[in-house]
Amino acid sequence: MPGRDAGWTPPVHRAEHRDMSGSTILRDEVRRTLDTIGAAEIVVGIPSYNNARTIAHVVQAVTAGLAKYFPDHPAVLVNSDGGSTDGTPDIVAGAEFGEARAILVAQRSRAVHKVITAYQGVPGKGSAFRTVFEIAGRLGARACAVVDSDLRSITPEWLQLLIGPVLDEGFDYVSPLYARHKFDGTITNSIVYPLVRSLYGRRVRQPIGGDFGFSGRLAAHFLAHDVWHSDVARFGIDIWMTTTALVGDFRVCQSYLGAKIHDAKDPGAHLGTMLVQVTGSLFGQIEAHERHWLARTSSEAVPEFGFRYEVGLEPVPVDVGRMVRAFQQGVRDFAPLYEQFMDRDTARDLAALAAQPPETFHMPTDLWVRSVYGFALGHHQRRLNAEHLLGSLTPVYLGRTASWVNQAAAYGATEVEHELDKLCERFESLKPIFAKAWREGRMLS
Amino acid sequence: MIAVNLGSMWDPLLRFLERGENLLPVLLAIAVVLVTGLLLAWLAEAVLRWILRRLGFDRIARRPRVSDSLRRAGLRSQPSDLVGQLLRWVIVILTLLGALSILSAEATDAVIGAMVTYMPRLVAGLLLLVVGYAVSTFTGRSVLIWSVNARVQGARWLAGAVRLLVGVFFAALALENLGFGRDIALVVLAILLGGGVFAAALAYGLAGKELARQSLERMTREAHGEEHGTLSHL
Repeated sequence: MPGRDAGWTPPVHRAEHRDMSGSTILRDEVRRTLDTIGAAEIVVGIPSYNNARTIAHVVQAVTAGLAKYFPDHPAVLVNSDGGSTDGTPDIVAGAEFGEARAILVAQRSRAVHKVITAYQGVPGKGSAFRTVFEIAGRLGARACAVVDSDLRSITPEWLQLLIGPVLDEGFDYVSPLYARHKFDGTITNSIVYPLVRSLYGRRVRQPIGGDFGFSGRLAAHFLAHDVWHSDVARFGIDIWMTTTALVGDFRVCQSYLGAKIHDAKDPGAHLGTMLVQVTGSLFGQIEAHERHWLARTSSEAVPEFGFRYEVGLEPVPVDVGRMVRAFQQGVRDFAPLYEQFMDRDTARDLAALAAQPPETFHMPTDLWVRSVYGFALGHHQRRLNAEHLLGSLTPVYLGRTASWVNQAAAYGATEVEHELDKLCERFESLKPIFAKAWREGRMLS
Repeated sequence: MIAVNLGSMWDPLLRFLERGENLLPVLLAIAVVLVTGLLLAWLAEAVLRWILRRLGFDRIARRPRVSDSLRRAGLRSQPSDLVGQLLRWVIVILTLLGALSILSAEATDAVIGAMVTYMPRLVAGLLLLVVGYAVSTFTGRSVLIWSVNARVQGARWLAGAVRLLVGVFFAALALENLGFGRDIALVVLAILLGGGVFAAALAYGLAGKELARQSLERMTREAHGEEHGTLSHL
């Protein structure tokens, strides 16, 4: 899928690309730089905050990917930084893709411009992306991509896989597909993917993957929303972009990128906080788009690009006993809270499950599905303070994860996907009950 | 001598009977007012409840936001029952005031005057109690969520203690505002805060030194295990 210049002409009279409030968040020097550049067909954004250890590799992969697959397309790399103190922007400025021959590419006919700026607005990845969207609009870009700055596994091919479907096939949104360890990405596998698939009716496997491709038209659509002072600007941008693309009139596909390996994770990133942020954003989007998903009754696959292959992933040791103990304590101590938003049968079954020993711990699929739907309903109906309600999800989630680790101990990649399909099908089967309870403002029955 | 004594007894008795004769209609009037008022209160409550139920008031109040507010306030009765009870108590208080006015207009004026003077402080005190209830519940739940997710043993006790402390603090504020029991509330607060915490620290650190060490080690281990866990949840 080589990049082709499909009739793109630099925009002559570019409108000021601004958000709904009519304001711009670009600094004066950035605007001057963009005026100098003039126009670009491709914009690649890299949000960063203290990623000095990894960002050079990401920049090298991006510039190499642009050189290898889109050598004749005017391109701009945007580093939207959150005020790093470790010299991240300097590293971006100095990073090049190195010896062209080493990656079998000819010298790029056009240089990749770099725009390095500290973003303005609410601190968070969403504000960093907003800067990228605005720059893409000002340059009249046809295709954009955003990639995380802590990636260790990004290769030049990622650029082809994220941008190619937009430039060559006319897609508006490219969601990533990764090869991951069967015990990794459990929030995505157990909550986000099943809910997105069952509610929005599209099988987008990694809705919060973090690395996306999108059209200039969709970037302008993103920018037109007034969400830049909400949680979307802070931490909910990934699920917001995916759901906005799904509910809008946009063509969505996914590309297989291979393994996703991050930098060592932030020790301050507590599971409970992460879960509150992800589920809070997800439930918020479900509320915002109820008219769209309440009408849907089934799901369909989305077009897929890339060559699938299995990657050798090291075994991950998991302490199931600790998770089960957390589950047991949680369902015991949170019982009075669960009574307030969860139906009686689900609360009773969760309490009964606490008697199981870690070695044979198993949470039935239906119980997990009902629990997730119960939390979503409780959040929607404001049955409890949102922070408290979402905070009480952690033990149930750990119970589900412990159960999955026990269940999938001997599974290969195919069996893992098969089981996840079965889980999603249960989410889809129980959706009518969930939708009914949602409409009638009551608990799951 | 006996005749003299009988005469001296007879006069006060006659005076008492005369007063009783004058008082009896008043007492009867009070009784009639009280009985009528209480009957009216009961009847009004029943009628209002019936009307509200016929109008579907309970169904309206089952809407999530309304029912949530009622549940958070710890009110589990039907909304129509609550409104009915409110009306009943208003009528009972008016009946008592009416009965008092039969006995003494001055006393009624004094009671009403005192109530009017005291009302702002009473309202402020009640408001403090309501705010205290909300704040203590919120704080208690926040502590519960944090401590359970941090695997702290005895999380419910900890959350309950925090909720009690916050509740007592607001109760002390309310009592001080009402102008009585100030010292008692302050002493209770001081005992709970100072004495309770000191006693718990001593009991945990000295009597249960070994237990304290083990549980702190476990907590550290568990926390460390989570933070540096091998799973990538996202």
